[in-house]
Amino acid sequence: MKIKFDFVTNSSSTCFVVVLKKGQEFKEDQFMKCVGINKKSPVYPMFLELFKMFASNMEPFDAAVASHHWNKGRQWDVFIADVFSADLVKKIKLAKERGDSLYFGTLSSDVNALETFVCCDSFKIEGKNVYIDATNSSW
Amino acid sequence: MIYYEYKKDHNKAYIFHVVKNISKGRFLRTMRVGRNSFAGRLLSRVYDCFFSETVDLLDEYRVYHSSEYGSFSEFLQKKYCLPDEVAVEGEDKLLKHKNTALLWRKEHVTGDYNLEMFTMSSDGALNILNSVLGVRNEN
Repeated sequence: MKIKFDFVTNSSSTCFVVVLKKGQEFKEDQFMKCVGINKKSPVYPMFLELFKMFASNMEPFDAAVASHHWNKGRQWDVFIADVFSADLVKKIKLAKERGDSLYFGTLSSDVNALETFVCCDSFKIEGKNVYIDATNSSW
Repeated sequence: MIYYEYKKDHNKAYIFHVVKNISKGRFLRTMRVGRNSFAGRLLSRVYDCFFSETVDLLDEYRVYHSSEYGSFSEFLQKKYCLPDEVAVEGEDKLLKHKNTALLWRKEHVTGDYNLEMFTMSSDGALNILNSVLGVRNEN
């Protein structure tokens, strides 16, 4: 038997949902407005990295759900009810009814400090035309 | 900003040399983020995490130990187990740079492992903190 006295390392992944009002695109300036950063901020580059991280990891919701490795052939509504909170499921269904654009993405704790933090944290970013929800899984 | 890191009582400990009395409000203003925005809340957590459980070593020495130890550097050597030259240089730093402090802090004291890893990593938030709290022309 081995006993480890220090932290045990492990990698983690989590998923997030992006809802964009009908006709809206996921754009840098809109994202920065939502998170409360202007171009003169010294932390603009960090939030730009965050924007790029979301943008490069998100796919159209239904296709991403159908092919996701957590989903083992389950029906759409069964899978989302299993993965997301009741509140988020309601938001997803409402967004679909309204014709808003829905995206699903995953983040990994293996990439860099920012993605690791975001992957293991639980948060929502809410703006006029964009809603990002990463509350489904946190440590 | 990290002046010295070492193991004490089986835990990693850091000594930071920082500019004194930078309030959270000033930190957020320098970062040009609003307190109630997502960015503001995130950086506010980083600030709180950094200052959690930190000890201002000179304050501790003056208030509790100045009659016990003949000098600040002796206090650093004997109470905080710092090597002689590190203790002496630490004292010199405070003499050379007015309005600065040596803060002592153990690793993983906040209860939020994820936030702490992000706050204390140089590719995470440590460089951001350094840009405000770091001592200019230190050497």
